[in-house]
Amino acid sequence: MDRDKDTFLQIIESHKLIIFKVCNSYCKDQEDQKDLVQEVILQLWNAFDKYDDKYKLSTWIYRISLNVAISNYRKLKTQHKYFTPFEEEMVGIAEDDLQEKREDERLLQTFIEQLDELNKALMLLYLDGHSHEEMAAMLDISKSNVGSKINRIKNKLKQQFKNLES
Amino acid sequence: MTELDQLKSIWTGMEAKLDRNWQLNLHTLQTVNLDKARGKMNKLIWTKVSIMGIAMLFTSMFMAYSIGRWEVTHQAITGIIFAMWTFAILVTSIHELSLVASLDYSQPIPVLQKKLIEIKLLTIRYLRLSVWIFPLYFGFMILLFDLFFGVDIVAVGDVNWIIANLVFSVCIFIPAAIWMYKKLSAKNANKKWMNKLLGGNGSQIMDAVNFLEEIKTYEND
Repeated sequence: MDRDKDTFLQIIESHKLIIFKVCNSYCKDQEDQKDLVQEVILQLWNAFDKYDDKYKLSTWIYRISLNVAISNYRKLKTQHKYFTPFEEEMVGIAEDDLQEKREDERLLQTFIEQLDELNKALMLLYLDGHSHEEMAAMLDISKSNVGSKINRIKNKLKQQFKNLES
Repeated sequence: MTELDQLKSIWTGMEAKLDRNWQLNLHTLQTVNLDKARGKMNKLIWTKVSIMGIAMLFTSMFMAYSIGRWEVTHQAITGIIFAMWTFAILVTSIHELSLVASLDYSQPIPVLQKKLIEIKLLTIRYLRLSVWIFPLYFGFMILLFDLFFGVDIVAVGDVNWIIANLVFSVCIFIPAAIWMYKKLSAKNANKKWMNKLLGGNGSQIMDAVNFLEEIKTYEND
């Protein structure tokens, strides 16, 4: 695989939904979401030279996006310490049509928002169909630990859906 | 429909809306200089290298001073103590530099997050190191008088004055430094005085400590 900018942009374009999903889940404010997308893209570009193609591209993008989103959320780095913000906007976000959002979508989103950062990452990976092995590697925990954590989260979610129905 | 299918179908619906509402500005991405970000990271590494270089220079200078004054015991000991102090700063700065240089966002999430927390908490280690300068004030006087005026203040000074300074240092400054060292801990980061010392980053340090606990619990849970 070429490591030039054109290849990089093609990869970003074809995997942009991963970045959007992570940024949307870890940030509420629209301006912060835009900044976060920019930071994720810059960090992906920084790491692009070192990308090891024995890993799936989607997994690599997920890892970096989640790491940037969590450290940004936790303010583990001083704002703009590592990055120069660009004046140009890399992403445009249209107003969400709230009427359009179904009740179950609203509930799932609220539920994800309530999870702590690490469980949120696990939930996103789970919903995106990653294997237990991939999730274990990304979160540096055992496969059985992944299984038990997912069950715990699912039970909580089931309870919330039940409460909604009753 | 299974529970998983149901969840995934809701998730897919949300995904479709994101795809519709969020647009990546490819034209901007094509024209913008993405390498600008790398420049800032390099600058940060160079700052850390400079701190390391200064600490190394002072350690060597104090060591050279000690060797040069080997026959004058109190001057040699003063040099060694200062060399040890700057060496501790040097070790911390090397550790910091290695952490910054090894930051790789494609690492497993807890691994990278722990590194970021460690970098954040190094501020406290620097603060803790700095308090040891207070009991060394008499050593500073020995060193400065010798280097700038060529005067050995221990040899020419009044014995009572020297003893008073040593007693003052041992009885007041050493206990005070130990007390400050203990107080300058991450768990006090959200206290007003500590927040000021940390340049207003107290709440972030506190948050980092809590997050570290969360990660440990998460890994063992």
